[in-house]
Amino acid sequence: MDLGVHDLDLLMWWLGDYESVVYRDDSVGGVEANCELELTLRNGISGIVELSRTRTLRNSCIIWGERGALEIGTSVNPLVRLTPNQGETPLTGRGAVAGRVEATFPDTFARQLSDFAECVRSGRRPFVSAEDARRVIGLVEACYAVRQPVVQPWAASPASRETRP
Amino acid sequence: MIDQHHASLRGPVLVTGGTGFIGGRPIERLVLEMKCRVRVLVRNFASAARIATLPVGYEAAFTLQSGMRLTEDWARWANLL
Repeated sequence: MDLGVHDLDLLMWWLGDYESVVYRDDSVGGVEANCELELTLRNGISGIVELSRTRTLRNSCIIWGERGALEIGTSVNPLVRLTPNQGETPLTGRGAVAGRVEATFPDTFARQLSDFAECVRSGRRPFVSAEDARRVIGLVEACYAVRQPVVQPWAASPASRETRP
Repeated sequence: MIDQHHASLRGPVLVTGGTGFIGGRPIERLVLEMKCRVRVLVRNFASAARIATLPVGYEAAFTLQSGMRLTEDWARWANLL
């Protein structure tokens, strides 16, 4: 799952806690390089999360609603696209911090450290709390607890690839 | 080629080139079919994701290179080379 934990964190921050999960990955005794989650959230929303270390994926979240779809990139300065169902012109733009034209990946770490330092100075709560971290780690552990082998019909020895540790 | 002779090996097997597309396949066979203990020489860990799904060990190439250089230095110091 690796860096994918941040995407799960983002999803839960946007959409709320999860109710249940079906999880598959390609580990055969090592660390998974590809995995997929079928997530159902407490508010009834369901969806699929696909994470990969070996394939170039779209790196975005697509939220389908009754009247259109909203796509949001998961990296810094993400592409945001709203596509209405009724054939209206899609709206496209970039998500950015107010007052900044472009953020960089290291900026995200600098902001985290600044937020932590400010919390120490002022005693206020951090922007991302330990409860948030524990919640997403709980999801990762729930995934590993119900792990199933991902279907790999191209593997020469399917039986051996399904060997679990 | 990996044959039955290799299948009888049970000691650790060091594989070079294992993070490539072709090199990954013998590692799969060694680990999953022949139950060998495998160590893979890795230069770039970012490219080792595919074989990381298997229970293999790793040797960082730069560690091995430094180790070999160190051994050569000792050998020279001892007038062996």
